[in-house]
Amino acid sequence: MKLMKITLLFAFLLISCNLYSQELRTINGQVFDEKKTALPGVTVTEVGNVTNGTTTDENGKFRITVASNAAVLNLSFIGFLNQTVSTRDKTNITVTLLPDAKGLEEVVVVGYSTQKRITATGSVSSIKAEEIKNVPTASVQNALVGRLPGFFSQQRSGQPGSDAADFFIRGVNSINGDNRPLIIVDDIEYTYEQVSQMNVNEIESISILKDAATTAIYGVKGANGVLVITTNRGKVGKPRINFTAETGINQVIRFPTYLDAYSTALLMNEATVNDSYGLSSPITLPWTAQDLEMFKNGTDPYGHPNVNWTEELLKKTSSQSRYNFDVNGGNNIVKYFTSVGYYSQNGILKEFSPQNSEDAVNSNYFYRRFNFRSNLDITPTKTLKFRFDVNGRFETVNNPGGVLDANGLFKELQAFRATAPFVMPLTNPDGTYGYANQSWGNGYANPITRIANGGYRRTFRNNFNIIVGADQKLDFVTQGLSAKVNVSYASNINERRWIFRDVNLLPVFFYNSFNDTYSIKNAGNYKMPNFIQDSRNEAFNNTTTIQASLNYARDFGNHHVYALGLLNQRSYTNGGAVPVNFRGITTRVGYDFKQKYLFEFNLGRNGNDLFIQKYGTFPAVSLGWNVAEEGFFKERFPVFDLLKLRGSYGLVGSDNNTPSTILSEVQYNLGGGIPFGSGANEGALVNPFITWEKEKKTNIALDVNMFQGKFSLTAEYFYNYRYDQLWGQGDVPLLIGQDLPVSNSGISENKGFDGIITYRNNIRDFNYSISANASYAVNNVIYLSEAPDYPYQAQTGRPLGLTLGYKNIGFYQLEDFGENGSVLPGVPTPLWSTIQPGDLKYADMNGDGLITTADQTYLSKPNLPTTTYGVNLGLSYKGISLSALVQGATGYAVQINAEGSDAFNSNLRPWHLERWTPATAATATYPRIGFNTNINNISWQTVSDFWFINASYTRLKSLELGYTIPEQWLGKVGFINSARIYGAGYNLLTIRNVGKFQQVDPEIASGQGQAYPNMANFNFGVQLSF
Amino acid sequence: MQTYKIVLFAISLFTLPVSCTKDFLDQKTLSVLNEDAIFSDSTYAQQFVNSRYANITYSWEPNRFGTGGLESAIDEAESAISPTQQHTLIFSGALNPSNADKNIWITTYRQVRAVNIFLKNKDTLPVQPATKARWEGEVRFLRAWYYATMLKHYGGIPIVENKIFAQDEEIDLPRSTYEESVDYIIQECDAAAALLPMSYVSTSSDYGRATKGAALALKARVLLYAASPLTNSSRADDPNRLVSYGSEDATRWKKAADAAQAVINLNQYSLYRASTPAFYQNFLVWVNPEQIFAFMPPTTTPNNMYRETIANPPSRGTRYTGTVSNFPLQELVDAFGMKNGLPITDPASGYAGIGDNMYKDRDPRFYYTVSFNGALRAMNGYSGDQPVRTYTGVIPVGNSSESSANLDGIYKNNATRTGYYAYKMLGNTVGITSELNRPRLLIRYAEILLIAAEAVNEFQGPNEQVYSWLKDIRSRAGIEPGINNLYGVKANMTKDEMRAFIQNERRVELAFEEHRFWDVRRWKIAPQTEDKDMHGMEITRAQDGTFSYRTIVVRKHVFRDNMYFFPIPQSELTKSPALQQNPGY
Repeated sequence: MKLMKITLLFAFLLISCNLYSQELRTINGQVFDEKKTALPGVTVTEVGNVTNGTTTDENGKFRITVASNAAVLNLSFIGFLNQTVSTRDKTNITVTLLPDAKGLEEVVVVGYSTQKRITATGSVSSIKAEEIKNVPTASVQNALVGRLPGFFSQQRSGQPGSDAADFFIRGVNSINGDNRPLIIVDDIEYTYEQVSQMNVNEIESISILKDAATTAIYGVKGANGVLVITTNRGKVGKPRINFTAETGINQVIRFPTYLDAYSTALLMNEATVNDSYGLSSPITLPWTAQDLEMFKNGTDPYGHPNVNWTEELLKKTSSQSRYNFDVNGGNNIVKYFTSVGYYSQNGILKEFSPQNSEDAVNSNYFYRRFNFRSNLDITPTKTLKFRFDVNGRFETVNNPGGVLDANGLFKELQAFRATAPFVMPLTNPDGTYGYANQSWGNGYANPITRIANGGYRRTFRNNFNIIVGADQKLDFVTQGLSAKVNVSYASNINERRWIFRDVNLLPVFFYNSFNDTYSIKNAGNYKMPNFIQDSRNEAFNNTTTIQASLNYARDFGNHHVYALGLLNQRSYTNGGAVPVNFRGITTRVGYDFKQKYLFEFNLGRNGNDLFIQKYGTFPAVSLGWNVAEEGFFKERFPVFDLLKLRGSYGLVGSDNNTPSTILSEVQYNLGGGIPFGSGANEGALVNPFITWEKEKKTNIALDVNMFQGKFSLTAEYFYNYRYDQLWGQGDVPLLIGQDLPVSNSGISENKGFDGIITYRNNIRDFNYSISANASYAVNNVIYLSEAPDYPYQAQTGRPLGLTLGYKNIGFYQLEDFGENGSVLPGVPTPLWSTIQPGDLKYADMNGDGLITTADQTYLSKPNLPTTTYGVNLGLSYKGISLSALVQGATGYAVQINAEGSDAFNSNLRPWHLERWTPATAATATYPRIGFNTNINNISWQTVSDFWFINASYTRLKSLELGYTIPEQWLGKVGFINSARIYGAGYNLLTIRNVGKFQQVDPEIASGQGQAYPNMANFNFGVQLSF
Repeated sequence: MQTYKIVLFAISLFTLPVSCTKDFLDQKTLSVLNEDAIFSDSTYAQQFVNSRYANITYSWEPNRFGTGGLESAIDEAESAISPTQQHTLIFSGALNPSNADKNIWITTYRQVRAVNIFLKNKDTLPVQPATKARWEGEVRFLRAWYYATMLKHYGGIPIVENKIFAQDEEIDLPRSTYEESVDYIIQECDAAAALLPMSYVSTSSDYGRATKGAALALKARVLLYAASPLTNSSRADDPNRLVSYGSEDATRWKKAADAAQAVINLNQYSLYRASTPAFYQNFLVWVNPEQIFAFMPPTTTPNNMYRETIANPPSRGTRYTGTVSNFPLQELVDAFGMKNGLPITDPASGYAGIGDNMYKDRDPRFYYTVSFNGALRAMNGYSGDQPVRTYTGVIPVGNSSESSANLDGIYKNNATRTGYYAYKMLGNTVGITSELNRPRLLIRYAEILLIAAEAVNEFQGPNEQVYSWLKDIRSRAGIEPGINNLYGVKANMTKDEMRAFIQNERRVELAFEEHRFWDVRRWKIAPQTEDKDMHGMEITRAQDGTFSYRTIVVRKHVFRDNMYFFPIPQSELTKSPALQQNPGY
């Protein structure tokens, strides 16, 4: 309440501030660039009296009143060098601003403010949205891949509406797993999901904040790094109307390849022979020679079908389109940016007509999104600025309703028991559908009838945001001071509507091709079951944020001083839950001398309502030295525009991994199931002093610009030490007799480097640029409370995110067996099953001659790459432009299991042909196959590094070719100012290394490989401005 | 003026978090039922005492390790295949400090902690002194009970006394010696016995709580174990006397005998004979003079028929579906003598040998312990018991009773692997809709008689008293008295003969009651009984309905010297350097 009062008081104060004026001379001026184009929006201030300022109008004109004849004006504009002009004896001046070729004045967005490359001391990677605008992907983060050093991402799925990549900044460093960065859009916190829904067309710039200097002001939320997005705002000028229309196709990068019915049947027989090992009477083979012949020649398509269900159900391509329309402009009083966008992406299911034509509903995967944004700036007085932003997103994500596997259609298409090539015919001769009726089949109805008649599962996501703010200059208090208030409200409402059938009840028939008879699966169930409708609210949450800040910036001769003080309060309510509250103050003090010696101090002091200790203090200090500004250096090395050493050190926190409630005393539980009535027990011990994770971040970096900005380089080294991580107290003897709470004890470190190197130049009209970036981050557990049975089972000293399992050391070979067929003494064997030749063999880590759980150890590598890199190439000649991005990652492992990998759990794939047999013992890469597979060889029951692949990939991630139609041609049309046509592609070419699993996408999440396949996208578009 | 306001604002901005946090950032505390609330309320306190009984059966349960318990880790039964479960690890010699189950540590020390919390609060309980004393007796007895279970597994264990550890406390308690552990348990049993009542009204809801007799019986059991050759000895590999006394002393048998005699002298207990068949009904009736200590399951929870689930032949259609397991081994079947009391190895016994008549005229206890081919058991849909058919070969077609070998026959999926199913303690009813509630007998009077017989025989030899206790047991079992009225107990046995006799008597009388596993260890006969092949009976039916019989090997059991005791879990050793591992691990 008190906060509200103060905010109101403050707002009142802003509005009641009066202008004051002095009268002497009026100067009229106009500002141009070197091509004699008028520059609107240039800031004009009187040197020594910064309270006296204005900006140029849409014609580049300004008018300013100065107090003395000696007044000097300073003109500044982003992308141009600052310029000062004397007004002595002039009333009319014309100024030409020169472009900032060196890039030193380039501004990047950081937390609650901006910084220039020349004076920045923190670690920030930044990109203008312009550069990624045409990348044909729905999610902003997918377009960032490979462009920002320090940005790690993995795109797990290609499903329309769910294809946003996971991303991390400088890898991960929390042993509890939630390493998601903080996302700030226009100073307001967003969720991972929200950011993926943003329309790139609304965005102006994107930065990632990586070190303590830039993240400490976010305090308890900053340790995982911060992604900062600013949206487009109106600029002074005539209304500019932009229209972009794109249409394109999505193409599946790679469908899994499966073996045909004949090969599968052959292997099934071989598996049965293998399963008969050691039995006195062998198991009957499932397929006779005659069966095999029929599979081979296809003479019995109903009794011996050969169906590739993936090809029958899925198309290789689908369509997408995108339309954006925005208007932007303004004058010195009102500036506006208004945009609407529509995005549509279709799925790859084929069209199947339902049994009853009136049941035709769209059951295909699809994604539709409608975005709008209106950012309005109003400047009623020279010192006061209001901001009114409204934006929203409405999305629809569609899924087929007839899928039976909870993990989706793509898992079914992998599963042998559902979609083996001979599990059922494509359709029965009379047009009815069959089901997986084989004894080993799962009994599911033919997926075609399930898709055709199953309806849909649709989710609607609605997202609204409002931000209202005021910014008052307070130069009358002291020069350079201003105050700002922002209030925002954001709300997410997700609804779902399902129209579906119980597809277990569909009328499906087994057709016996020998005696031409049909038998129904569900006796008496000849009728199509009715549609069921299910609508419900899936999420309802809202966030209110209030920010109030004081800003100060002033030059005293060669001394530049700046400061920020900000109060931030956030309240998040999810559904009917108690609001989660967050509050903090943030301060920043900076100083530089002649832009040569740089110093900045940041302090976040904030907390949330979860902990006893409410507030934490997060300081960070950073220093920079611009060597190139030193006289001696300038003389000797004039090619250097910039040579800066900088470093930062500070403390940041993360509250992502804290429990939702923290008990302050031990709770006793009552319960039944006890003799003599009810019982009562002491509950787990509590730790009321739980607090957030903390990270000490060290960053050392070098910035170089050379040859008038043609060459630039940034290289950074970082070391992050994270401690106070919540972890179970694994080292307390069980003698304590009670469950223990987590404690702030875990320690891990994450270190590495990242950097970017850019060269751009032109040969007359031919402009080219090449830029390469790389990021490397490795982490390591330094301490966590554990009592491992064996040293090789300790997590301490190993990277985060490893899996515990067995070390594979090849296969049991014939020479491991005695004459009676049992394993020779001295050869370690597991207890869980009888071993036969060709089974996977595991290392006996403790040397007891047996393979037991004691032999498990931490395997392989984590799923997240340690190294990512990108190479960006840009070429332009007159109106033609070409840009290409090659991106790659290495230093990680993927694990494939269950339906994704195991023969006869998965449909058979090329790698199963590489199985162990006595003949191929030396070269086999897959264990002997079995139908009732020995659990020793089952990937998810006996987890081993056999199923882990050291993966890497390089992708031609995006490519864009554009042509800007010359203005003289447009002159004939008249109302069009500029027009550009372009073609763009995404995920165009991939060079992968995924070892023996030839089919999988290298960015796949470890597991069953059940994701919608990743897509390559191709777009063709037109951009028009009016 | 405005300047002043702004300065004021600036100041308040920075002091806000300190001054204005009461409402916004206060931790949301939840009201909890805490320790004070429990022990200042007699109902809650009573419930807290009740919960101390919750785990008394944990080492006894037939599904302690999922598909098996300790009987499946010894020559009593074979379990369904469960390669990674503890009983398999045990009999295959693969149990090691890393894979050994930690549940027993968790369970024991949880209960010990809870008892200690009770004792800490006992003086302020709002109840009558008599109630308070009884509760104290109950929890102290139960603490001793849990420790006694640990003692069987590990030898000497860490005794925490009345300590309640705080979470930030350094815990590094060494193991007490075997002798200290025994002494502590005995001392607690004695103390509890002094506080506990002789009995409870049989119709009251308190029936089944710990009694003076229970405490004294536990004492007798612990002393019997302590006097046995395994621990009543000196071992070179046990310098710290964690698993042995470090000396042999025959008077330890005397202590065991006296303790058993003390239970007998209470005149509170007798063998159950009230309804027939007494040996069978003994396990099913709720109130029973043979019960000394039993788990009385709550009548409201549907979990008391798990024993039928795990043991009944699949065709008997219990209310639950589950993995059928705990199949008796031929070794156990052969341990049962004949109805005339003679062992089957005795030429005079009349045993027909392997064949159609091998189950005829056996010790009646056999029929209530094992379901064999031809045993008559209730079957759903039939009035009157129907034969259990465990054979393989040509299975007749017909009604579901005649064709039940399709479900129950050896080698069938989820069916017996030995030719037998366990039957002891099972109800012979099917299709019932309510729970079959029965106590789980943990100490019964027959065991006390056997303790007394064994201890007296060791200390004094096979005197008249020993004979009379054995005759009591065998007459209740339904064995014919014979012309010499000895119920098949051979007259004038030597001490050694009597020892062997008692060992076999314990085996058959107490089968499936968590005794054999420990008995073969404390007698140190495991190398003879355990380190060998285990057998079953494969019965094959021919087309013409005749049967052929073949003894088959179902499992090779392994026994090594270290297996007399369980390994201390490696993680506990790592956490607590003062702990010492058992010999051989």
